[in-house]
Amino acid sequence: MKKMKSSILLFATTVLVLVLSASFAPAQDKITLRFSAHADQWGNVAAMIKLYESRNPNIDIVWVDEPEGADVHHDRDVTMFAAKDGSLDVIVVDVIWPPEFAPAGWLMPLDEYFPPEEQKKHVPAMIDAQTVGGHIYGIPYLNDIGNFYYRSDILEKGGMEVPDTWMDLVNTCQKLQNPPELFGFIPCFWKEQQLSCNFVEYLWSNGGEYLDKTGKEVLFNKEKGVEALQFMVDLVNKYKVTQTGVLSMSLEEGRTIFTEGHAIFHRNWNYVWNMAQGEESKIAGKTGVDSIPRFPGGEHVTCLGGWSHSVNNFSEHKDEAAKFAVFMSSWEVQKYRALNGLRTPTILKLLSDPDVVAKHPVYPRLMEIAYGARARPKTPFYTQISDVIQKEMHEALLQRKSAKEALDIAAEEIEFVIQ
Amino acid sequence: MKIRRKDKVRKSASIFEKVNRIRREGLTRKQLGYVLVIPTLAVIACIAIFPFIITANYSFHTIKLNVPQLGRPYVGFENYIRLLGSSRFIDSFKITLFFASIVVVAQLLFGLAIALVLNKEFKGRGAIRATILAPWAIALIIVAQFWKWMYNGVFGIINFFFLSLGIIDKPVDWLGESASLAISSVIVTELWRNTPFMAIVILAGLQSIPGELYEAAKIDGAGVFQKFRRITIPLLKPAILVALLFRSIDAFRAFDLLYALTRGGPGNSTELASLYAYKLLFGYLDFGRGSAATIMMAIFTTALCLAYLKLIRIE
Repeated sequence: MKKMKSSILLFATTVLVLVLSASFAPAQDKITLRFSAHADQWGNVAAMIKLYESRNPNIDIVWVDEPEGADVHHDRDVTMFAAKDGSLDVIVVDVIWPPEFAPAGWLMPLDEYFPPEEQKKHVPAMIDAQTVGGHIYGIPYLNDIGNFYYRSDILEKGGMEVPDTWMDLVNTCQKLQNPPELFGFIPCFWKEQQLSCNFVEYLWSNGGEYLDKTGKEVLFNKEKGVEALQFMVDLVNKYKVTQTGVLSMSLEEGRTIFTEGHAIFHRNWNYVWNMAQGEESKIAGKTGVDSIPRFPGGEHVTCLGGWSHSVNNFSEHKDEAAKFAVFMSSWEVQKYRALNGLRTPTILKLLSDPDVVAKHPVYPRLMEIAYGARARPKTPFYTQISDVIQKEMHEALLQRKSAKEALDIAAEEIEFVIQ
Repeated sequence: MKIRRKDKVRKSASIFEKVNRIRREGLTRKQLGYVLVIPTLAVIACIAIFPFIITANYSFHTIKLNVPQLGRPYVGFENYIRLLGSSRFIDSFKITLFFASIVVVAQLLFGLAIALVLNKEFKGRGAIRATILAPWAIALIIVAQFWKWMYNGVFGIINFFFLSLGIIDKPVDWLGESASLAISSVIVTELWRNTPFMAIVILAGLQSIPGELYEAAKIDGAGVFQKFRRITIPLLKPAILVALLFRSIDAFRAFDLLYALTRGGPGNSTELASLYAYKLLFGYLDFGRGSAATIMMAIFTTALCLAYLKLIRIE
């Protein structure tokens, strides 16, 4: 009993000493910025933070890890903002968030720090996505677009070309596929954000539109949109060129099938190129990347992804935070991250920079595809719209409703929200 | 502090008198009880009652975080009326009820069976008791992710198994092919995960039944079935009700499992009320309506609890 008492006393004293020493620590002149960024397996972010700290001795950067997965990440940021919490000064923001975050007053306008002449150097669609109400709210640093990956060896053996239109894709698949050993095409039709990204590519490549310019009227349930969705339904149910479980498979599950060598075509983001060439891939050196197919008469378009650095409007050190955000998206940092890792730059000239191209020969091709990139509708209700459309598209893909019926119901529900 | 042995009842004492009495004679047992329970109540108030009041307050306002210019106007019961009028919310409630009732009944039957087996003497019983708890001890989100991979239509082990046994002749998309298949797959995972809890609680109940009762019954010539019906079941009832109470509440607000396995798909076929409420709150940033949905769920769960508690008290 006595022993326990003394150990409790010891513990209490230790805690007390710790608390006191923390509160009596000398006041610091140094400014601490808390920077929330994705995990980085190459250690580049840490290296760049060190570099910045050595150039700015009065700044201390604390790196906070992001949660894995964009949805969870979004929810964490929203909770933080809703509480007017300024504890994360610089954050990374997905391309669809600014229209939601900026009107709420959560992001700091960066016009002063990131003027138009600087903006011009980046992929245009990314700048467009970060601009809300005439102000810019984020500085792009990571380029990401939907790409169309193919197995060059299989196409060559079968004597086929890379498909240009969606019907070409179907024909090629039907000729060369041999499921379950070799599936034709792996899209991501799971009921989450990815499904919306896939859908806009069918919609836009058929000349369809999502919303009108005011963002108040729904256009995706017009003829072009219905055709696009009907084609998606046919891909799964009529032409049977997609993998088993396409409606319940997450992006990564689909990617695994492709890099394990069990599919000819795959729609995914930039990261798959590097994974396909990596050590664990069974298809290294046997892949190619191209624009996503289109409908006859339509254009090759791709859904814009990618990330930017933004400053929390509740931060206590906005000026310092904005300067740091500019640095982290600068030519210097983007080049370093491209050369020492696998982060695709957003600065156009970097995508054709000789050093970068020597390391990543595929980048000039990605840049061409990136010019066809389009941002998803800019509305604060995007998450809601996307959720409704995912639900109704699944009804159509399951053939419980016709494409027209599903899109009409979605349009009705969405108009109720946005008007 | 001095504690008086005898509590004298004096009803019409003013506060002043009371304080004086406490000074003179110390606290009564009852008063001491209240004093001791205050810290606990304070903590509960902070972490349970206070947030509940805030949520209830939110539910009477329009709060759209992504449209701050709307302000936070008071709208009375509009959020509730809107939700009750939306087929999506009603559907999610129906799916939840369906899911919860199937899960709880099935878990009760399986849990009872497992507990009866584990209650018998046999070699290695300790080890088996420990292993049977394993599914329940793993974090649910991890369990769900494992199962998602096992259900995978291309590389999932369940397809492989059934194909090689000849039960199915082509791969099945367990979570996406049809609404009924998806909800069944989810229920199977839920049973795998939470039946052990039921089994352990019932097992504890079984072990508290004195062996003499069975011996006496045997002497009176009771058969196995009679012993089960007349002794085991009646004496087990309290344990079963407690287990049912816990499981019903949990099943009713199940979330992580669905979040990882289906996200409510295909279509809306596995969207439970909790998942929809989460979407309203953090997807749509509609805190007014989302709070209303959670409050309605809370009311329902509380009613369920009260019903169970009443049953337990009757026993």
